[in-house]
Amino acid sequence: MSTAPSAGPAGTPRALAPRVTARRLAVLHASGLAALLVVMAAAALVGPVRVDPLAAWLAPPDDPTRVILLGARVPRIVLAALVGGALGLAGAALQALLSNPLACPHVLGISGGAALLGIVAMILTTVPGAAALGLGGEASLLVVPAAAFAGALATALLVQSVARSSGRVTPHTLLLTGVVFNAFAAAVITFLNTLADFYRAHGILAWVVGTLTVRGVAWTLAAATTLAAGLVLLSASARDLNALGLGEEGATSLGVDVARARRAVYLAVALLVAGAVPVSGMIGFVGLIVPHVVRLLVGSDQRLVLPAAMWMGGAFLVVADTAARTVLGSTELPVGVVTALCGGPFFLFLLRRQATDERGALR
Amino acid sequence: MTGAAARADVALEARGVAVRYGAREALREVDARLAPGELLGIIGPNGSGKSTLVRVLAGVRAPDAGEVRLGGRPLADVPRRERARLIALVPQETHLSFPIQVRELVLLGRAPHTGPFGWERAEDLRAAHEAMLRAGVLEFAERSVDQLSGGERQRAVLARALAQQPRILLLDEPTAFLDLRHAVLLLDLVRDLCRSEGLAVAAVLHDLNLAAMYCDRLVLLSRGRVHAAGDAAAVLNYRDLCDVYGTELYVAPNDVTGQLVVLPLSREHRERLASRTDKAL
Repeated sequence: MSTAPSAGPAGTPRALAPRVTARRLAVLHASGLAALLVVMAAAALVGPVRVDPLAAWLAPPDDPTRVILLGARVPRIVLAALVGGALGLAGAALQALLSNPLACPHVLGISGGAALLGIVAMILTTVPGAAALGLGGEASLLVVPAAAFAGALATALLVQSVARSSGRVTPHTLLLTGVVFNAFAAAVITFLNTLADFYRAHGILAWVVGTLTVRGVAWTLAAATTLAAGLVLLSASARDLNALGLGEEGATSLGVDVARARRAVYLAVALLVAGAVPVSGMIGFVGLIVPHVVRLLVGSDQRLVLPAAMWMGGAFLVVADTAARTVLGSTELPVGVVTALCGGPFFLFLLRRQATDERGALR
Repeated sequence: MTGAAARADVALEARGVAVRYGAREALREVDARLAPGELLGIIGPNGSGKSTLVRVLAGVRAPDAGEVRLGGRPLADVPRRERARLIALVPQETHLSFPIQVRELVLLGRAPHTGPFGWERAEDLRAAHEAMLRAGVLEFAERSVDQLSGGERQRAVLARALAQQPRILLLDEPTAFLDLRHAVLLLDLVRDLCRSEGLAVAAVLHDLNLAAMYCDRLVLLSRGRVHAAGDAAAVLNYRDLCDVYGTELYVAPNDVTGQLVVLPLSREHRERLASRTDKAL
């Protein structure tokens, strides 16, 4: 307008090239999977006991190195990849939905809500009489994730209602709600911990700090299923999340059904968290850190950010868990401690940068 | 821009519209009509309901009473994606949650045209390209929106709206952050689109002189009601403007455009004028 487009026809092809194509997405998924597999393979070789993978693979079933590799490390690494993927994906979706770079399922209290109801369900499935009602033993595989899902969804709706009722939401209002809710959930969990038997209480504490717990193939498959469902649901919502980058009214004026998009994202996040929390407890900061790194790599288009956050989240948690089980020699650290040690300073850095942005922004 | 069907008369009309924010009534019994090829100016003091009227016309806020009709249909009954293909809104401020490139912003305008997973087809890329060319943002298509100047940013947002290929364009203070040159360049472009494409445009304008110069018709809002509507010469009369804006003004035609010039007066000039009037009495 002010100056004639200097490039003319020569400048057009670049502007005409699509940024996101089915092919680029396929490449992203393929390279994400490849990178994750490399990290997982490397993690399988790390541990207090040296394991020769080929020899272990060929060894008889009761060979100790084979048991260590295939019975302990591999299931744990697979679980780390699934849980990390779920948390990374959920974090990226929440940051886009709420336009808040500090959001993640843990910070917003969604993991806390899932853990709270999940633990209540777990205790109920072990009380005498639960079996008679058909809730004991194997049924806990259904009951605990279902309760965790209900807890995650209820907390997400609570967060949303706080965001709505306070009118113009400052990013910090949401976070405060999450922090308060987390403190509340932790108090109730500690209370239950005090009431429950010692050996069960020990398991409960693992939920609060965040520890990967291999409960069995069925539980791992459940986490994989919810992760797949969450990925499909969020991939279908990626365009709406892009439009929501313009704010709610901007998205509405582009024909986006904002209420429906919000429901889809909360549903997906609750599914992801419900798959992850029963096998890992409340692992923090994965969903916070990973989307930031991803956006530096692939830009802000959610069609790329969401899948990339899933792959990177998986790889990140595999690395964190490997560190958790090896840095102290034979004593194992809860992986939630490792992610918090990385995530705490990162969170403060983001908070500080955001405050500077708000001061510096003219409009 | 589009086929003959879309070229058909798609007038936008507000009838007896009222909007309340809690106890505060932002609009009351407002009637307004916007026809193809027309540039309508919405003017009025702060808090008179200009932005609210634009939001209601755009369908992002449902009126509490009355209705908005699009081409004879109630706007509320038009499916949201179809509505977004017909009406584009440029809000007062565009706040982006995450930094994106200009062309990504413009491509967002294709959202109502693309399929469920949002893959852009060749025609979407063509439309975005044409919109960027028109708005003069092609040369910084790859720049991040948050690194643009106010004028560049406003043009990028306009390009986003044009990429929607709308029949109706609603602008909320499009010139608010622009200097004089960029303001007239933007309005020149918008008026060209009215004339050549038959685009219907409603623009909230703070600058009454720009409103007088560019708009075919004006709607003057005062405390949520239509105080006056019609062509500039009728609406911009001294008495109405002084009443509505609540301050003494100088209103007179100018030699160049023949349009009215509206000049607010400082206290010094208001007092001088008052004493002169007293003497005359």
